Order: sequence, then structure tokens, then C-alpha cells
Amino acid sequence: MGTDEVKNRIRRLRFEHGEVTQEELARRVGCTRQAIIALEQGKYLPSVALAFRIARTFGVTVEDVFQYENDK
Amino acid sequence: MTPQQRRAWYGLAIGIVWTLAIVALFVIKGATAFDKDTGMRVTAYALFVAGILAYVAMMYVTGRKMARDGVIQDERDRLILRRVPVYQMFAVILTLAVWMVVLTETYSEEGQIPIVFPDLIFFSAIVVNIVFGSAGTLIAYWRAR
Repeated sequence: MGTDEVKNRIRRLRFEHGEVTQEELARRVGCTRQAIIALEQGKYLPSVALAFRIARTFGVTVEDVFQYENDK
Repeated sequence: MTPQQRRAWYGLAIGIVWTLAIVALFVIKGATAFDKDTGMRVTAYALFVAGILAYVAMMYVTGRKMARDGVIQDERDRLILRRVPVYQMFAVILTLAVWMVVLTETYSEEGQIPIVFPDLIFFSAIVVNIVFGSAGTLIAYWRAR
């Protein structure tokens, strides 16, 4: 099966969208700032629904935000 | 620190003061006085109920403040908080196991235990359950860092 890893570009997307703060992004997608911090640090994998909300907030697809990697 | 963690710190503070107050009562008066001293029994029961009320009041006040401030409990919080009952159950079972071993070893020759101990076992199980509701929350958030 190999090792699954999911990386994300949330920090970069926040930067590209006018330095949206973690607090503002959290408010827009309906989660806590601590969850955004954990996501950016790769310590938390969001639910499918939250992943879609984050992608739609930035006007991109889920795969533009999250990249699935498998070392197999 | 999330609002849930702040609430857990308040709960832990109440739990520690509560535990110390009950322990101090039994240390000052002596555990065996519980059987004969009605005043001590009333004080112990009052302390027990007061601790529960203080905890419930704290949960109510902080819960209302969180609702007023629009604080949400998101999916990550819920995932983390799912671990808390495991810590509570472990702590309560460990407490009961310690009571069982200590009482069995201490009173095995008499074949019976003083009447104070069923009360103390019940008090300790409730106190540990409530304290580890807060401590378990802090541990769960710490492990999710």
C-alpha cells in the first residue's frame, strides 16, 4: 500500500488571496483558527466537507488545495 | 489555546480546590470520625455537592459566554474531545483498583471495612471522573499538537 501523505497549499493560497488571516479563513469556512494552524502544519486532515469549503473559499478545486502523495 | 482548553483549565482548577478541600477535611478530622461525627458527615456531603454545583455553574457560564462570543466547536475539536471519556474511564477504574487493593490488604484480617469507605469510594470516583473530564481534555489537546 505504501505510506499516504496529504500536503496542502493553504498557507500559499492565503498569501495569494491578499494575506487572508488564519482567523478570517477559519471564520469563512466555519472552523477554529487552531484547526487552520493544524491544517497548515500538516497535523490534521480535514473532512471532505471542510476541504471543499476551503477550496471554494479560494475559488479553486480541492486538488489545488490538497495533494495526495503515496510513496509506493 | 482554544475555548475548550480554557474551559478545561477552569474545570481543573475547581477540581483541584474541591479535592484538596475534601482531603483536608478527612485529614483534619480523621477518617474514622466520619462514623460518629454528624457535623463532619454533613460538612463532607456539603463539600461534595458544592464541588459539583461549582463545576456545573462554571460549565454553564463558560458555555453561555462561548455562545455569546460566537465560539464554535469544529470537527477537529470534536475529534479530539472523543478521546476524553477514555482518560476518564481509565482514571476511575485505576482509582477503584487502588481502593480495592488498599482496603483488601488493610482489612483482610477483620473481614469487613469501616462504613466510611463506601462513601469515600463513591466521592473519589465522582471527583476523579469530573477532574479527568478537564485533565483529559487538556491531555487530548496536548497530544493533538
